[in-house]
Amino acid sequence: MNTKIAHDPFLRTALIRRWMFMLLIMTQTAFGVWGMIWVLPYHGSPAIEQAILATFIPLYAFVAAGSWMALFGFYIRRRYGGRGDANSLLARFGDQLPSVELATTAVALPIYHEDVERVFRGLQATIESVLATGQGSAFEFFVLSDSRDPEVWLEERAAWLRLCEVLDLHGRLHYRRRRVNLKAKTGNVSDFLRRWGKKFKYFIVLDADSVMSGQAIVTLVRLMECEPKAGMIQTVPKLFNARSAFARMQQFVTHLYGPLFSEGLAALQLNEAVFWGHNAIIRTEAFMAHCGLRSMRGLGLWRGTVLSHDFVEASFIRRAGYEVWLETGIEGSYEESPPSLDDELIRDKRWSKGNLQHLRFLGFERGIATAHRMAFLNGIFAYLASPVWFLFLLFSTIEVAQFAAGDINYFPDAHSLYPNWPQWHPQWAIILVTSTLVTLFLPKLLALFELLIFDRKRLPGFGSTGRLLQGFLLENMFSILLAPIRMLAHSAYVVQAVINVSVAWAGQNRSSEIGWGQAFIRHAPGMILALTWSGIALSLDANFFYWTIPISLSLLLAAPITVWLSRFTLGDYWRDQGIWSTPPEQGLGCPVLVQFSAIDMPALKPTNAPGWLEWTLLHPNQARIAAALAAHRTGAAKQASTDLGARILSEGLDLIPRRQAARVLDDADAVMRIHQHAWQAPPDDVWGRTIDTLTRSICVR
Amino acid sequence: MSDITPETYSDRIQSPDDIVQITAAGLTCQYPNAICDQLRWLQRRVFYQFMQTGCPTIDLEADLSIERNQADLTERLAVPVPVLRTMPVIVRGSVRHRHKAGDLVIPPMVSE
Repeated sequence: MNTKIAHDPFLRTALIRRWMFMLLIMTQTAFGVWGMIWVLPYHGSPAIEQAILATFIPLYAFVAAGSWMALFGFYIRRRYGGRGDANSLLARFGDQLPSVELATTAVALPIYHEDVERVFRGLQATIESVLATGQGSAFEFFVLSDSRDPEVWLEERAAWLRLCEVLDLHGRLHYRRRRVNLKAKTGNVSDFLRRWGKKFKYFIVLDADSVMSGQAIVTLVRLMECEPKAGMIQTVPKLFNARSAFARMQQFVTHLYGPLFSEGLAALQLNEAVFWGHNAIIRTEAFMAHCGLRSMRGLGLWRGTVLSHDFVEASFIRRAGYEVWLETGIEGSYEESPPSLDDELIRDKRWSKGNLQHLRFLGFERGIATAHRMAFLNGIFAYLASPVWFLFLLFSTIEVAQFAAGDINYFPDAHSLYPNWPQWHPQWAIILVTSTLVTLFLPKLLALFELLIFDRKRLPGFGSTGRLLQGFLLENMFSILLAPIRMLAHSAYVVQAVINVSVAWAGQNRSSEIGWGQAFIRHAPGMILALTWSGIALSLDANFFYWTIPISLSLLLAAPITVWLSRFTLGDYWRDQGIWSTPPEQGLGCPVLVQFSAIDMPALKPTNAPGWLEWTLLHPNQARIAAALAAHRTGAAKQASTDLGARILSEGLDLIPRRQAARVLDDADAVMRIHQHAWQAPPDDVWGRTIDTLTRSICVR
Repeated sequence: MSDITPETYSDRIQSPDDIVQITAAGLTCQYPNAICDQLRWLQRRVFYQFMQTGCPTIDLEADLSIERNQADLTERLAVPVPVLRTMPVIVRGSVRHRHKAGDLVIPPMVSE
């Protein structure tokens, strides 16, 4: 640890809290393991029982960690009346914030093949909210696109221009598209910093589905100004704008249980918190000096781009002596949930690989703070827990199978002279299961208890007490049903990551429902596995079969559950019924969400108009804008785009691959030549026909 | 009609008798190409103006002149490419990966 960190005023508090936290987890886990040893017939002697224990210990510890984290959060919230930890930046600097001048700050929005209408709606709400604070002059906004499909990035560009017009932000709202999108999102942000980072003291990173209030953004900048050692400040984004039943359930979860967990996490991490990749502010110079991520040079999974870069960047900036804070008290930070379980699992596939890559930083990166190594470990085990649970079930089945087959070994320990009689203690099994259930559900019950007893001012945001309880029970039922489905999927992802199956980097689906065919294909392996496992269990022992039912039933129902929960109609119906109501839905969220919903987003081109490339070449204004924005090529590049322009002029667009054809937009002369030719072309010319089709299509409703 | 000139793409001028013909396949109606041409140029000019300005001006009688529409369109096509303020001036920097802690970037505290 470097000397700067050694003089950390928060170190003592952090160490006391973390050791207490570890002690509680270890004590509870020791009791759990002791109970498990009594449940096992040979009390852990044979290899299979040792394997069961080896899988049980980390699983139980992980569950206990989550529970104690929430308990910490509950304590902090009650101790400080819900205002956040006394050590937090807001608690220390809150009083002086209004008088702090703002420094130049960039708001960066990296995007890659996202829903353009949604992205720019969120950005518009955020910018309008910033302008409403009267502090807009301190900010510049950057849309950093890595989109490759011209049908997407041309729409993004049109949306950007419209937003510049609407907000009169020409010259302060920028759109940059990378032509070579190396290193995914990390490369995108780094590219921005290399070109413009030095202009801005801070930068705030948004996600494609982020919305932040101007007040939250201004508060972040002021907190950075107040605490010069702060390298990053992360806000806690809450979910909003959910429509499907699944997304609304997740939204309910973050609003009801989220505060306890985030408060507990912030209290434990203090100034060594993690960065979640968005809705956070970063000190630009510190980030540029210390957080460059090299491509990994290891083998398999540990080679190439770091996928989950945010945790690593937080650990690097901390290593350099800066502080990283998770500020739970900043309201007005929002993001969206994937609309369905399948979409969540697709995202988890990328995250699981990214988190497993952290093994390299956990074990081999020098100078990383212990708190960040623990954060890496927690992130890794969040996914590794699934195959471990899977193995636990497998080993348990083998143990039962051995007994069912009458394969009872009275001398499981080869070196012992005394027989070891197998013993069954159903009472211990019941105690162990009960304690596990309490550990699992205590955080949720505490969150509910806190809301109903201590924090009743938040209650109207969740509708009536009756509906809140109904939603609570429903959510718990679904979380039990979804857990085995997630477990199986995560197990597969971990295996795929380890054998290094490539992960496609793609924009997240944020809006569509899941069809039956898609759901059955995705969940068929789980359904087959559930049938096989339950069949084997039934043939071995009826009692064991009953134990398998909660898991196999949810795997069997995975497809209908996924389809059902992805339905917007169900989400809308339950919203009308008041189930899973949340403050934003009740109109009690931040005003920025009201702005978000109220924004009028007219279509950027008529419904029946041709694709964006054709539209850009033919539309009078779009073509001129394309020409104005064209890169100034020279030499061979210029010649290539001129040749391409000539080919497009004579053949039209249909015979040329879209991405190749889009390169003509690099040549302003070619763009205007095609545009002028098309509008004056005779009707039997390919462009004459295109213009006639275009003009007719605009009229068709 | 005075607008029917060799500039249009009609192969020939059709008489009213050409519009409706009784053929072996039955009654066929050939829309006069001349009108098609007039409408085409009107359509192009009007839609260009519509997309350019959001509000076309149409005088149906006057605007059926092909030359007039072509001239108007040519004028509109000649509108120059605007100069757009897009990205700020590039200030080159680098994003580095440093193992050792550097000096903290500590700005002066802001006084009230």
